[in-house]
Amino acid sequence: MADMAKFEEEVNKLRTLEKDREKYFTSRQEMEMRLTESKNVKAELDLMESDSKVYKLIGAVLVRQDLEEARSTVEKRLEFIDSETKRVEASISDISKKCTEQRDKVMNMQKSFQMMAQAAAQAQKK
Amino acid sequence: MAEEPKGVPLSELSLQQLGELQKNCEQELNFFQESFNALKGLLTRNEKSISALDDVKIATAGHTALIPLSESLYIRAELSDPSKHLVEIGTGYFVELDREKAKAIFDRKKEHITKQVETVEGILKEKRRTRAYISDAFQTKVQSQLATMNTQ
Repeated sequence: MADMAKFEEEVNKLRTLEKDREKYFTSRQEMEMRLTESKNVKAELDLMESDSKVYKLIGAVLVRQDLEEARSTVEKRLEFIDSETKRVEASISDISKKCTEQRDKVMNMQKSFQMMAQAAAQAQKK
Repeated sequence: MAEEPKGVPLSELSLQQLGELQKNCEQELNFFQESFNALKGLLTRNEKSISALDDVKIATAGHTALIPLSESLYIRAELSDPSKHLVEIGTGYFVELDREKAKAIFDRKKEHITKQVETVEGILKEKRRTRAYISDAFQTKVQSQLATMNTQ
């Protein structure tokens, strides 16, 4: 009975790990979307001439911004997203490793239960 | 040299495993379908912007128009310079451009989104094919199990 409780506990651990991994996957997806959008903005700003009028939407107000300032802000944003993506990637590989280990653990426990059940069935036949 | 991971034939999977696989495939299909619909929506919005540029082309300085403040509230306004357009380029940035440059931005957006639509469309076709394979394997498995039960 205690073995069964331990097994349930390990299965729950695996479920929790998989849920966490899903969260990281979603986070990475959002990062990729933000990265793509920022890259597009950077490309457009790079095409602008020096006298172009650039505005930034802050709340409900459009505020005039210097072109070079806008370029550097987007550049910094790209760097930030890039470092965040690397952090999330590291977390994903770490949690994936833990998931694999936990899954193996659960499967091994399952196998040992099956073997015990088979042995018990054999003993009953005798 | 590392060996390439070998796939497991669908026929070797249990009903439960096939069911799981079918569920995962369905989830992926839904995700890509949503992405496809969102991209199509973006294309439509972009087309509207392009046609709006054409509408403003005939306007002159002093031209009056009704400007929407909300979906049900409009205000009468006068165009001071119809040759200048404020175009959103993303992440809250807007640029003031003439008609040609504004059109060029929308054309680039259109090209970019169209490429993504084509990519997602290809993935959708592949996922639908996979779903059909899994569904067939599932049906075959069910029928073979029923046949086995009947013979017993």
